[in-house]
Parts: sequence; structure tokens; C-alpha cells
Amino acid sequence: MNWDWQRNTLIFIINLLLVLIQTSFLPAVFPQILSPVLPFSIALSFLAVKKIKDSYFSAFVGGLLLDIAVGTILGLSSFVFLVTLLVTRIVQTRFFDNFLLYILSSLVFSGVWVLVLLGSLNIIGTSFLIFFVLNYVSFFFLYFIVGRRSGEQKFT
Amino acid sequence: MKYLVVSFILVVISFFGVLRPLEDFAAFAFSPVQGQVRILGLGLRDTFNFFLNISGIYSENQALKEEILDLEQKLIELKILEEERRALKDQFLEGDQKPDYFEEEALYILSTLTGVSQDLSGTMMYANSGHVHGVTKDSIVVYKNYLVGKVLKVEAYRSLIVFLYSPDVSVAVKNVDSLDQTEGVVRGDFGTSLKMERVLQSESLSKGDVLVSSGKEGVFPPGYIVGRVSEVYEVPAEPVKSARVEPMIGLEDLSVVFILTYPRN
Repeated sequence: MNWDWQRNTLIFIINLLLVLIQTSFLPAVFPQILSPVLPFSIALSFLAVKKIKDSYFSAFVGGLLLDIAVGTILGLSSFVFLVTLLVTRIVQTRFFDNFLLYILSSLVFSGVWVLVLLGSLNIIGTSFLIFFVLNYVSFFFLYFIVGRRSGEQKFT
Repeated sequence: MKYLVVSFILVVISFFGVLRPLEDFAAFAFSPVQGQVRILGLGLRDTFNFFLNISGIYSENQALKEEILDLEQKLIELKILEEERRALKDQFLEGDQKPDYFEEEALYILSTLTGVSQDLSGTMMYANSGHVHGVTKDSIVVYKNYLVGKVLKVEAYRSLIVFLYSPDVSVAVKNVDSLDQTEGVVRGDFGTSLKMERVLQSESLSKGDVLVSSGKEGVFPPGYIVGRVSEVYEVPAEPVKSARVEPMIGLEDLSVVFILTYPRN
């Protein structure tokens, strides 16, 4: 229990930092580019290293923090994160588990995010492509860090 | 799955504003931190921009320097044009009419004085008009109705002008302020002033008299102002007297002049 509490605190702090980076730091440094959704990326990277509980908790907490930071309906980001992760998890256990899954997951998530959270129908275009690539790259980067920590890296 | 359910419930109750106070408090706590992180990001962006734009700033600086040089060049050209325009106006307009000294048959060639030649006495200077412009040797140089000098040498695009100050230039003059129209010859006095010579003792000549060219030496046309008598040298025992003459315009200060040629000649 104590160990879980510590892990969850750590995940909370990591998500807090990622939300701050996503909502304040990256828009200031790169104002023209839609920032990647870092809480989702880390949740997906937990999923990729089979830390399923951590993944869902991270998605939940990260989503809530993101909603507070950007002022959207509380729980909406968490809901979108979790739905995407559940679908990814289903595919991961029943169909295949390689880099393509996470590319597809990032792609679907980027589309849903742009469509639902940003309310834009213009999901086919250069800015969307950059958004998707940034989401995947940030996932890959975080996956690398999380994978090293947990000692589990299935694909590179 | 429990997180999904909780988040769905949160979405529903948040949609109806039930969690508004909680959201407000969280945003209140979050905002200062966001502000600080944003400042950090802006600082980093400025640093990036600075280093990324160093070469751009340098080339921009160089371009601005060149632009300044171009503008200075244009300013100088404009000043020259303005000076020429003023000189033309002075030369050819007296009010709205042509001045009395304007010669219909003469060709006035506007020339800018470009510099002092090798002559150390300061009595010669180049003008930027040459024989391609119609200047000929011994053409007369004037400014308004003042005599400036004559052309000593002509090249394609420039002419060497010798001022009245030169001892090599002599002008037959007459005193327009005396009743007898005293005549004499004015010669340059080694680059400093002019000297009037060969004036008979019986003829009147006083300080302040204005001398104009008489045209009798066959070089300078009559009627142009040469200078004003500043001092008369009289020795009763000698048959002739002389006088010191000061030009009425500062010849050395002129930047544009008119070279007169007579196309019929």
C-alpha cells in the first residue's frame, strides 16, 4: 500500500510537470505549433511497458490536471485518454503488440483530441500531421525513459 | 475501468457546474506556477532566437550600413542638385524676368567646381564640363553677372579654370562710378586679390568704385562686374596710379559656375 502510494505520488508529480510543460512551457517556446499531449504520451508509454495500472492511473490523473490547467470540462481529457488506452490495451492483448500499435494509437488519439477537445474539423493537414508526429515522438521519448526505469523495452 | 467510470461521472457533474468551486480553486493554485513556467519558456525562446538570428542580425546590420551609405550619397546628390537649382535661378531669373546681363546669344554651361589642381597659388580649379559639353579654351566663366575667370585648358569631361586672382589673367575694366568711366587693366595679385594698373593720374578713381569689364582686351565680354576698389595707390611724381581691387563675391567659395560659350564663334 505504501509502495503504491509512493508510486502514485511520483506519477502525479510527473504528470504535473508534463502538464506544465505542455500548457505553459512549449507554447511559449514554440508558439506556432500545437503542443503534444504529454500526459497521454506517458500513459501510453506505461502501457507499452505493461504497467497497466500505472498507465490508467497516469491517464486519469494527467487528464484531470490537464483539464484544470486548460479549463476544459473536468474529467473529459481523462475520459478520452482512458478510452484510447483501453482500446489500445484490447488490441495489445488480442491482436498485436509492436511499434505499429502505438503509432496507430497516437494517430487515433491525435484525431480524437483535435476533433473533440480542440473542436476543429480540420484534422487533415500539415498542422495535424505535426501534432501527431509530436505526440508519437514524445511517447517514444517517454517510453524510452520509462522502459529503462522498469527494465522492459519490447520494441525500438 | 474504475478510472473510466469516475472520469465519466466527473464529466457529467462537471458539465452541470457542480465542481465549479473545486475547479476554480485548482486553477487559482495552478495559475502562478503556469505563469512562472511560461516566463521560463519565453526566456528560453528569446535565447534561442538570439543565437539563431546572430547571422541574420549581422547581415541586417551590413545591409543597413549600405543603406545609410546610399542615403548619404543621395543626400549629397540632392544637395548638389539644390545648389545647381539655386545657381540657375540666380543666374537666369530676377524675380520672374531675365536679368539685364543675360546674353541671348551665349550658351551657359552649368559646371560644378570639382577641385583644386596642382597649382599651389589657389588660382585654378577644375570644373566638370569639357569639350563634350561645348566648352572651348578661353571660354569665360561667370557667376550671375560677376566675372569669375576663364578656361585655361579643356579636356573631354573637365576644364581647368583660372580665376581672376591669377597674375596670368588680365581684364580691361572701366569704373562705372566715375563720370569719365575711368579705364584700366585689372590683374591677379598672386592669389590674394586683384590689382588695377595703368590708370592715368588725371582720371578719377576712389575707394568703393565698382569696376566692370570693358571688353577691350578682346577676351572678356563687357559689362561683367570684376570687383570693388578697396585702396588707391597714388604717387604724385609718377604718371600712372594703381589700386587694390576686391572681388565682390568670394571666388574661392563658389561651388557652381557658368561657362559662357558663343556657338556662332
